[in-house]
Amino acid sequence: MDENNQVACLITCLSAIQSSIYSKSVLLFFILGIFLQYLLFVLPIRKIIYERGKQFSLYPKMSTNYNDIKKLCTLSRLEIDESEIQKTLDKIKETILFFNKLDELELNDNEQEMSFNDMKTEIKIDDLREDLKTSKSSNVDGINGKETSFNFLNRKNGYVIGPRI
Amino acid sequence: MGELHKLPGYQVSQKIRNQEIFAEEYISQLFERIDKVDLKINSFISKNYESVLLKAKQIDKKIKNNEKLGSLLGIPIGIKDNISVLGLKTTCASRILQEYVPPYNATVIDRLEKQDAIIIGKLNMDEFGMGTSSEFSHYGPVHNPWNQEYVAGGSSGGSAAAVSSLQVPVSLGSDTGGSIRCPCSFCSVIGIKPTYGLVSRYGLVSYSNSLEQIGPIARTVVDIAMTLNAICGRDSNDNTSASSSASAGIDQQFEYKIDSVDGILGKNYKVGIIDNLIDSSEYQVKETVHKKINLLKEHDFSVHKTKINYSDFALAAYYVIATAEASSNLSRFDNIRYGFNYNPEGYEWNSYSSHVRSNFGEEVKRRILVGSFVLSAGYYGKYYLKAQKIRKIIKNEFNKLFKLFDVLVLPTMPILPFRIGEKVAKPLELYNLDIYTILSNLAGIPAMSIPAGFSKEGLPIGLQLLSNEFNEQVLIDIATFFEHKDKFNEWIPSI
Repeated sequence: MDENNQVACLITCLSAIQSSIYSKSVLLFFILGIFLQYLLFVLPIRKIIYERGKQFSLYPKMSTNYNDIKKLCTLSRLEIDESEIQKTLDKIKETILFFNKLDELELNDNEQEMSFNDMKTEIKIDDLREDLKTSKSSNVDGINGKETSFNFLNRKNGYVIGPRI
Repeated sequence: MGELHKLPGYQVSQKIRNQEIFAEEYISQLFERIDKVDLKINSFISKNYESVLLKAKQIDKKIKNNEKLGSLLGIPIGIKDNISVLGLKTTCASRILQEYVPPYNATVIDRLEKQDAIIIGKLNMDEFGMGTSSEFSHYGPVHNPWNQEYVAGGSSGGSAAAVSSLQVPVSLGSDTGGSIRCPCSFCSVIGIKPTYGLVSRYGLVSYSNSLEQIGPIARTVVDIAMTLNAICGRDSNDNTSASSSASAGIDQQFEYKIDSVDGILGKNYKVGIIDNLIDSSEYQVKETVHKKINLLKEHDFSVHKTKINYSDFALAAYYVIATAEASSNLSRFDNIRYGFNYNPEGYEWNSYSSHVRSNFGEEVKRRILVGSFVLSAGYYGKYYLKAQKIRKIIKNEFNKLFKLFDVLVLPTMPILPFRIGEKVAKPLELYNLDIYTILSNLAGIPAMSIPAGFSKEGLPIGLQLLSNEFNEQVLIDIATFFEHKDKFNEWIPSI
């Protein structure tokens, strides 16, 4: 091989290497571009979807429907007019979503909760005083015949009338 | 009509004691004032005219006979309608209790009467204390004396509006998450929520027992201190009440005094400005509060900026705890022992209870339902337990702040009073207004609202002061300082 051929061969090799490096850089830039797009657009959208999903799907039992609100009414011994149920449901849902704010704060399991001991009270909450004699009287207790201070609404023969248990 | 209704409580007491006026004469003038003004304000639910006149005559007789006289001699006091007064209807502004007459006095009532105060009547409020505007009342909304188209604030709206409109010199309210301070801010009067345990809750119809306290509302700091002195202290009927030598390690008697301005300046109080909360208020509120801070700086108080973290979480935690306790406390209203006349014969227990309990108002029902939900199986840890942990964090944060400061300053409310009906259909918006006031209820510390000024529209703005537990004296001192400088006790609505 003469000298000219050698130079030509070297140039060809170099340009092949250069074009290879160039195409790799393009590829690298392309990958980098996709990664940046992922960081800038996809991740925030995924986070929003995740947060929304967390609110609605992690707690499937949350009262979001008619039957759940009816069950809550039974538990609370409350009657709500049928026409008012949807309005009540919407407002309760709004309040409970607001309570989910508590999830944003990272608390460890060892964190102590507030108790009555944190209030500066002098006597233990379960220390009871002696019973006091009542002075005012307006009714007679049907069982032991003693006078009571409560003015019960519905009475019959000294007994308080209540609904069936 | 005379001008006696304009006198603050302590001056009334002095004049009656010195026999410059008769208690009966004063009370008669006050009745005229109430009959004239309350048509516009709607602050009274029930009035006690007959027995009030009788009591006034007894006081005049006592003076004539040189008998021992109490510190609140002849001062008429209005009582929020969730505090039990023997023989006087206590409705909690609810339909379910509209016929309920308590068979006993709350401890605070016994203590006021022992000091010769006169219980003049029961005042309007949000039903069971659940509200920020006094619009959720079975007896209609309370109107703001400064502009009757606006709310008076809540839940002790009747107590604040009656004092502001010169119908009574002093009233009692109860504060679960700002229920004394909010209406005081909106009506331009002074109100204090004492430390948890300073005042007995015996006889207060409970809404959220770990948060609420009874406290006085008045137009002068002297009246606040005198009333607080009369009602505070240990009560064997309330195990959460503290005696005069509190277990807080503060070796002091619960006796609050009014110091001179020089005396107050000499105490070198360190004042912390809660900057992050002031910044998030409406601009007119912000400006007014900054003027008050400048006044402190001009008088060489040591003033430094600080902040409270977790206030957003505190609001959610507060409403979890309050609704949980409400659902438990209000379960007692089954209409068997007290309530309205509705025959239970033929009813099954649960259906009877559900039926009569439908007489609760909308807001009360909502809170009971939410409370039942947060306490229900599977959610207790997610809501209630977490809320109690956040409460502890807030308490610890205040403990740290009170190692640096004697008093913390922030606005009472983030916004100005709003129009009646404007927010009634938006409960969450109303809950958000409590963000500055619920902090002291969660931490159990005392807090006071004092008049700070007015907006361009002439609506009142309040300044809130917080101090460490059982340190009410600091609040009284700072309020006395502002009273001397601003003369806010002379700000009276033209009604």
